[in-house]
Amino acid sequence: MNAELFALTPAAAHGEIWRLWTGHLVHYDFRHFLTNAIAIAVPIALIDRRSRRSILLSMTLLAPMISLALLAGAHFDEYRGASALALAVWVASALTLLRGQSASDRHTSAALIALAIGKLALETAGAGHLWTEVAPLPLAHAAGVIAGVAAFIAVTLIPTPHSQHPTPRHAVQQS
Amino acid sequence: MARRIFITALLGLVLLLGCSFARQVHRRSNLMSFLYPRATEAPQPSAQGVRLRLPLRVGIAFVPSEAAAGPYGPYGVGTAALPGTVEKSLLNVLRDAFKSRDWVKEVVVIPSTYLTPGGGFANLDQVSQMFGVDVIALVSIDQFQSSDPYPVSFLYLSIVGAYVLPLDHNDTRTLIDAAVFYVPARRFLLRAPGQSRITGHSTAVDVSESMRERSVKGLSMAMTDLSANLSSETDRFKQDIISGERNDVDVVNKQGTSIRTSGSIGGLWALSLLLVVAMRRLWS
Repeated sequence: MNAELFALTPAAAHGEIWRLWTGHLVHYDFRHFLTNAIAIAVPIALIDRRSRRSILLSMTLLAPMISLALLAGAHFDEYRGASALALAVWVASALTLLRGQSASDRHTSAALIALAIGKLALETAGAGHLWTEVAPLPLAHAAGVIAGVAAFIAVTLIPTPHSQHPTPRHAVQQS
Repeated sequence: MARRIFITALLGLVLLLGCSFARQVHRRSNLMSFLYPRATEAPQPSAQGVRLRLPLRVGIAFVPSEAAAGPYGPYGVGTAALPGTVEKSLLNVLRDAFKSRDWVKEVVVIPSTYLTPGGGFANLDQVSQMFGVDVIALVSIDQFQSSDPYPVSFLYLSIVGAYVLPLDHNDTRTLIDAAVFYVPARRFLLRAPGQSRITGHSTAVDVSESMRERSVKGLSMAMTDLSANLSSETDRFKQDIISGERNDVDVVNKQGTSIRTSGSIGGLWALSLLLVVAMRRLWS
């Protein structure tokens, strides 16, 4: 399979629209994939199943929006990687945990938010290439954070047939 | 009178036998002896990293042959240079394969007559400036052709046999290698091989023509193989740059954005997230 056909490139704006989604799925190597996969799997595993499903579903809509923002605001020939989505999931999960009743939820949320802010601050300061095998595109992660906040608001405000308020896994276990 | 006829027939027989000896042709151009004619004085690549700005103007040229004798030397063994038209058509195969790539602005075919045997990087510098290219792919060839008559080739003794019986077995083995250099920094970027093998038969009188045809066909097939391999190697080269394995080279687009830039969380950040999970157990 030729990953070049699925990477996000300016061709996405000229008919190859699948790239708006698939650009987030293809990676340069296994290590690149693994670190991004961990950054998605760990925060999402901390919240309850219903919120998890809602956040992941919202990503199918937010992924092309992030791609369009990148195409409009950054100058790159090719973009691969799920890090923007990872930041979105990371932030949405942290905000969901913040609504939890337990201290551990709030501490975990604070730690996740602090890490996200630290990462964005380093990247904005031009030190984003530290500790990464592929230098990140700061705009991608900023867009990811905004998408994460949007996902949280959407999941919180839009009522579902099952529940109006998603709750952290810890709170569900306690109740 | 009978004696004269006998001598004439004997002479004719000797000439016919002369058609069926083994022949070999070796075409070879050596990249190392072109770039480093005096191995002890090989120039060091620049310590400064290479920064390639896309899209690239890439030059392609055949390394000049070491020797260019006639098609056959003594005892049927010889070396031969490529005819200019063949050289151009072969380089066009490579040019056509890469001109549609988005990172290529133009592929410039450089005739090997502009390169002198043993010219080294000084010669490459001249050509680079003359054609306005910083990246040059040097193509070297190693082609070996042999033609051996079968044991039953005594049938060539009849004149008709030499014309109609394909009793010579030809073998053409071709290896082509392309090495890509960034000339200003004298730095090697990547390489790829291409190869082919053609076997066949020919009549005694067609050996030369048949070997010439198979030489061109073998080179063309090897060049097509080289194009595919070079394409794969270019992709691998790009991935090596992105992953940091080739940290001596960076590739930037028109806006100056490095291709190393992409969507990555990073290993230590991923570990930090795992640490948060571990801490969560303590907090609960």
